[in-house]
Amino acid sequence: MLVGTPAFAAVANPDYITIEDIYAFRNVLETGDQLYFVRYDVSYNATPNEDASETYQMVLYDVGEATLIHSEPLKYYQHNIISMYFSAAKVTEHGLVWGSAYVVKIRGNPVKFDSLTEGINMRTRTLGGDFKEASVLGTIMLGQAQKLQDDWAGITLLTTGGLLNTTGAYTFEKAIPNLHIMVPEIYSSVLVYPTVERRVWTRAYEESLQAHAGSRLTNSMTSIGSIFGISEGWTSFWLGGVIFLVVVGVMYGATKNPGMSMIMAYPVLVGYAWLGLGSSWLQIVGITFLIVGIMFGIYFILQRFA
Amino acid sequence: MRRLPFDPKLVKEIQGSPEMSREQGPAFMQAWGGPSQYMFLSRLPMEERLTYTAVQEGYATKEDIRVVTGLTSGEVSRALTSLGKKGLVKDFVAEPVKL
Repeated sequence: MLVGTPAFAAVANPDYITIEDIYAFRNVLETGDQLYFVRYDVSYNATPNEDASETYQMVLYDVGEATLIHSEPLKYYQHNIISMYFSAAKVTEHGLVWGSAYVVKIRGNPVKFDSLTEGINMRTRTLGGDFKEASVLGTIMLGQAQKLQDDWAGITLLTTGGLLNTTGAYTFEKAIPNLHIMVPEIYSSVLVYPTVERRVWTRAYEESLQAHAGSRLTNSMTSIGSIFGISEGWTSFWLGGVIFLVVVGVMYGATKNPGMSMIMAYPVLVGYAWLGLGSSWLQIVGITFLIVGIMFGIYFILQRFA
Repeated sequence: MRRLPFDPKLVKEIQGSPEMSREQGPAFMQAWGGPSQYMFLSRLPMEERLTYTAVQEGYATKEDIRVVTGLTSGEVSRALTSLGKKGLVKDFVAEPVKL
């Protein structure tokens, strides 16, 4: 009689397997979400050739182990950490109830092991007093980093200030995606992308101003511009500048005061802006002249009362 | 040295990042003789790893190795034979020390 054998090569059992710590947190990224964290040790004297993601997993079972809620492949052998995150929507979908005696296991992948035995290639813990609020997530994670660092003699995870260094950040972020958003204060450096509001600019105001000029004036500017091969905007700009300077000259002739003459010519610019002539170019010029006008005004007042 | 505290994959990942390597500095994996040595040792069975490390540290007799590693004399002998076949402790194969 022929007996079928599995098509996979069974993985050797570890020297020991333990769950060192287990925690459940809620409201870490959004109201109603849940995070299940485990620090484990799947200890091999000689590391298997297969990647840990193929051979071991963290699993979460319902109360009484009736239903498998979720499984997550381990990323590393030996002493390390892993987590499962459930968004508020997933919490609702799975019907997770905060504080329930869920069962967490670190176990071999059933596909890779002939059999799973507690204490041999599987370790089970039932959640009890391990439920914590998000406010203590950072402190607990730093404590976990300290424990890992102590055990991993030779690999530093914390800065002298007790925060996660780059290696610590890498290790924890790999085990708990988005931890840097949950508790940025435990990182020695965090890369934050600023939220930029994308504004859509309309030309409604500019067009409303241009409507003041009317088609005749606009057409005349366009015609004059066509003689010199420039646009209506540039024509208005240059003509506006010339008119402004002419008015300044006239005022200077009457007052012999450069500051006063510029201030008195300022209504020309305002009028031009109101007509929308020269559009944006004129606005820039207007602002420049406004600043210059104010400076001359101050100069004028100071000169009068000095 | 009896157990490997972390996955050698992690060592590779740290070595692959200039920032993390720089951050770890010269103390990185010193207790294990450096990253390469750790990765090499992580592939050896525990008896061989402990024996090999003891030999590297200068323990020259089986008895010294047995005492320092906590292995039985049979385990030390088997480890030395295996290491000898792999060409890792030639002296012991050529001149086995009698207990």
